[in-house]
Amino acid sequence: MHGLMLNVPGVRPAVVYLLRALGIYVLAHYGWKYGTSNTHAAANATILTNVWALAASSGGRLVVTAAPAGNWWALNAVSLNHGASSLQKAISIVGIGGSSASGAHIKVYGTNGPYISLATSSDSPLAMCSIENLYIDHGSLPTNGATLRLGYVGRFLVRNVRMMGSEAFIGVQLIASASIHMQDCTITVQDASGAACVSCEQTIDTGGLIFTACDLTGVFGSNTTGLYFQNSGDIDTVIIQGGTSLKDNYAGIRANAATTGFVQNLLAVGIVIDVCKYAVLLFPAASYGSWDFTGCWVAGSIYALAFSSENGGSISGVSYTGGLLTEPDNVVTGDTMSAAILLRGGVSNVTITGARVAAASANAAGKAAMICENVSSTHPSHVTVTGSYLRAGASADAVITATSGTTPITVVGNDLKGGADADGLAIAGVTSTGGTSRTATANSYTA
Amino acid sequence: MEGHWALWLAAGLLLLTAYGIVVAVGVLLNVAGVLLSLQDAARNADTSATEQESRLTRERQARTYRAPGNRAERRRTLRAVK
Repeated sequence: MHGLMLNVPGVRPAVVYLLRALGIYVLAHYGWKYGTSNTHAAANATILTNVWALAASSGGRLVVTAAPAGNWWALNAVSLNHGASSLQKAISIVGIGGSSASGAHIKVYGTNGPYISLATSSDSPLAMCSIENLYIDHGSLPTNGATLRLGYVGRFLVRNVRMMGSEAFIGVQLIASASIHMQDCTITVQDASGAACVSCEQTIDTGGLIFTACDLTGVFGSNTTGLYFQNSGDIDTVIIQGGTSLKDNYAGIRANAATTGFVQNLLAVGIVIDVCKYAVLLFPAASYGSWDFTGCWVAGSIYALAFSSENGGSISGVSYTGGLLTEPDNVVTGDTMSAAILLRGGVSNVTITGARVAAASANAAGKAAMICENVSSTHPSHVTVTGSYLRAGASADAVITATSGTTPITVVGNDLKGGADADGLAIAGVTSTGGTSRTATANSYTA
Repeated sequence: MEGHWALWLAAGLLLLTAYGIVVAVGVLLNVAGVLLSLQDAARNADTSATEQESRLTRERQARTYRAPGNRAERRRTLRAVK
């Protein structure tokens, strides 16, 4: 009903006044114009910046209404800062109306990002607000930068935001943000080196990233990453839950091998990582730890889980309970699976419980389900595999292979399938009867 | 003449009132429209999240069922049952 009779003299000022009194700023009331080109992109960017400044005095919601079918709200790149020093403001951007799941369509123009930047300056912090119900795409494929960049933003909700069509280079980029909840978002990115659906690049110590029912999708067989940790500040507490999927990426979850911030206390529950070369690829330069996967489907063409200290970092404390670790349904042409699980070098306190771990297909011929190996003289330690089904690829030497320096290692009560070794294990120095610190007992084995 | 003035005044007031009602209706529609749409959008987002969660759960179950190892097990199970 909004928009009806709005041009009757006297209606618009009264509507603007009343809504503003409620902290609601409908951008169309302030001159935003929709269309089918970039004609209004520059003017809309200016209006958005001005209305943002207007709302900054008291906070509120900037409303984007649905444009008629085939039209969109064109927008040039904007940086939205309120400049109220350390005062946190609650300014949201919300789409309404329309028949699609996402309320309103914004098309950003320009080949260089970032495109929509919130609180890029430390004197403009945002908190307790959101960006919701928007379909955001690009006038042309961006060559760099993020579609949505969250700077000094905390306790912030990104909900029902769709980035599809002309895909982003980086969907959502986190710079100095903390306590970010992304819910029900669909973010697709283009095939480009460095492209990521969500890129965590926090420069200060932060925490509290929550992903619920999000779809972070790249391009099958490409260079994209679903969730990319490239933080120089430390990140504590990441929760990925409730049907979130990270598919069609080079890596579903990945750590940049050069950045020095750690990511600790990550909990993944009921998520799907599929059709990736590496489902989880952690070769960090920092001390990662306390990552827990429960009831997840994790599949990678080369490795499902790949943890290594070879870039100077370490990984301590990984538990994988239930669920699967395997090859994806669609293997990237040319990829050969190396193992479902790779633990290399300074990787410790790893527990696999009640999981289904398979390197079983023609593509994984000769490959173990799990490999523990050293980096220089450093070996994995405190590795425990219990109550799981592990299956090697055809003609593999063993289901689990481990260097003699991998200690302690405990492999108990598993169903081991495949592998030429007499008991399915090629754990150097360990027989099926095991020892005190290197134990392999009560495993069933079938060739 | 005095009667005419009163008539004009009454007509003017009537027109003004009518216009006021039009403006009031316009304001009401627009304000209520925005507020209801905001409420509706919030509700849709919640529903959409739940639907996507259900879809992904179904997908995960389907993939589990299709996994290579599972297919072989299923065949064995079926043979055993027969």
